[in-house]
Amino acid sequence: MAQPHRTILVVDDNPALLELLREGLSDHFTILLARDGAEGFIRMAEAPPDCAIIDIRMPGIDGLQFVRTLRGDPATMDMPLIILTAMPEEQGLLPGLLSGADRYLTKPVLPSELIPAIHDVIALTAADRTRRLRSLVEEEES
Amino acid sequence: MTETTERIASPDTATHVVATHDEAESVRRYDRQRRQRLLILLGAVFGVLIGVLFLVALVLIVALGRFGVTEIVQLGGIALNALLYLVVVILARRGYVEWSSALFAVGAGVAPNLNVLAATAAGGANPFNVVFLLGAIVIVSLAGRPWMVFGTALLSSITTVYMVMFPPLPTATPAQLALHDYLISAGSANIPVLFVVYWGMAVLLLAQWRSYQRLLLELADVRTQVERARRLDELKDQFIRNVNHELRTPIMALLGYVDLLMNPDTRRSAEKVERYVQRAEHAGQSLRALLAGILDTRRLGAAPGPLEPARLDLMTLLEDVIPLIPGDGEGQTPVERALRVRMTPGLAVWAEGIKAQQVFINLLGNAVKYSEPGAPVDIEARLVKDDQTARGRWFQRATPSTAPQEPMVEIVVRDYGLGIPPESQPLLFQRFMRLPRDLESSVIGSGLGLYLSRTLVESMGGSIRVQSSGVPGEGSSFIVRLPAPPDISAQAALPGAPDPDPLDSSLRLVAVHPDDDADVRQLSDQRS
Repeated sequence: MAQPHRTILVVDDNPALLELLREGLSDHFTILLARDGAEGFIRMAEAPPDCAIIDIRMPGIDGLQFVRTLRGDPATMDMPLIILTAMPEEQGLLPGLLSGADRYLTKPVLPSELIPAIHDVIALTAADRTRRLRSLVEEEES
Repeated sequence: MTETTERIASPDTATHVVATHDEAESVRRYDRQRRQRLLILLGAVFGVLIGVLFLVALVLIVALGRFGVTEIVQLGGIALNALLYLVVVILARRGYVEWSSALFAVGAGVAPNLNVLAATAAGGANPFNVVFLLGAIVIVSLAGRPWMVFGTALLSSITTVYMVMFPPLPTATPAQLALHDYLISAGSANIPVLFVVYWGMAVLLLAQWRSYQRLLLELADVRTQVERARRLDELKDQFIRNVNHELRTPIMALLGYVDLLMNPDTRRSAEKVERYVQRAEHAGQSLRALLAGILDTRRLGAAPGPLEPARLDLMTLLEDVIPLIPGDGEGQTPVERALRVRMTPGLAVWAEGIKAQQVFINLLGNAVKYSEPGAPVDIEARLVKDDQTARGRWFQRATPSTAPQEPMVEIVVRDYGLGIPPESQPLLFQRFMRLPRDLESSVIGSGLGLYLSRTLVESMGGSIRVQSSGVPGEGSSFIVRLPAPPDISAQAALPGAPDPDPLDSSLRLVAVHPDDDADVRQLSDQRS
């Protein structure tokens, strides 16, 4: 592989899904796992990943709060973030993207679909991210 | 303990809807608001009318220039009455409905009587005064209690007799002397007629009051039903969202592993193929279990089958159930829990094996699911008499159970988990009910387990309720009552009596995470 081995943090409270993503993504990325938001922050502090995949409905700190916190921290404000949730789009898409996530994916998502999505968001530049968020806010306001 | 159900009964004890505590409370609140509005309206109307009467009387007295003791007594009485109604309105507006209604009865029933009595004593009584007494009975019936109507009728009767027995003083005006003659000659003859009018009116008004109360209770029933339907609708929506959420996870796991299996790289490793197939199969099983739960409750709702009870030894029942309890699911290592059992040896219930098993799978499964791994679970069982009666306040009269007191077996399943907040308890056994806390967490559930348990227990002639302070760590107790086998005499079951010879047993529940290949839960019996 030409590109360096990227590190991906997966935050989800469902052990079966963490296991699936570890199995499905570990050939392409280095995978870190966290069972909830608090554990996610600990992993994040130990070794900042290149991208994080976050569930919304979790005990304690929920996914939206987690994303907002990362976006508010200068160290992680440009980190590629994907929300991967069972919450249908009509409920969670807008709050998810407004919280600052780059992608909103609804379960079920296959590992083979997730890999290109991760590469896509890693390729996003800070300018892309700002532009997207601005257009989203404008759309919301109109 | 929070009473989960109460009966709303009409005045003639016919039972209507069995309402939850919250529903009964909302009916009480509605009735209170109705009386409050009525008191404010009546108080204001009568206050203004009597105020006007006071002014008219004052103008007449001043115009005629007759300011004597009698007039002052009458004016004072009228003013006091108007003031009383003012206080009625103020109290009702501030929410003191009971005080307001008591004062209303004084204002409407006692004050006119006192006024007439005082006027009679002062020599200012007039046969026309009986109109006030009739009015008092009618007014009290509007916002007072039934006994107050009879009280006012009694007062009015006494006042009338007094008017006749103590006619105006000889120093009275010519008009009063004429009244004196009238009362002496015709008064005695009129007393029975007035009595019939007072008491007949009181009875009629009471009958009217009763039919009005019945109508209100029927309306309350309708409100309760509508509220329930609305709540059920909300729960259904929540259930659909919940099932949608719960289904997506095993579907993703199933499709995800199939996706990995289709990858040529995976196929080169037989070990990986084996592992992925197993996990895909496990995800498929989770899906099937979730669907089975939903379908089961639909079947239950459709048609309950005929009951075929048999004698079931409780300890055997528990031993059969323990291997079927879903594992802790959280940890990767086996989680062991003490299941502490306290009951008389040989204690049995009269129930259907499969149904009783399902109930205890659900209850013990919940105890495991909603408490820390390793926390103990207690089971206590004893023979009791079915002495449950519905208790309640004024419109929820105690309705003693009409059935003979059958001996029942009470089984308490207690965990030391998060507990159930008191406000969630009334709806706990409803279909689709899940606590807000669980919706946020990773604990999988369809909100059907306790509904299923209640339906099953009730179909076997039993009952189920919950006791919980809602304090985490104090846990919850689910109290199941099932009929005792017919050969157990009712005398053996004394309510509240300690078990003659309870035996402590300790069963060990070892739940192994399904991923750890062994889908085996071991049970080791260490009876002491």
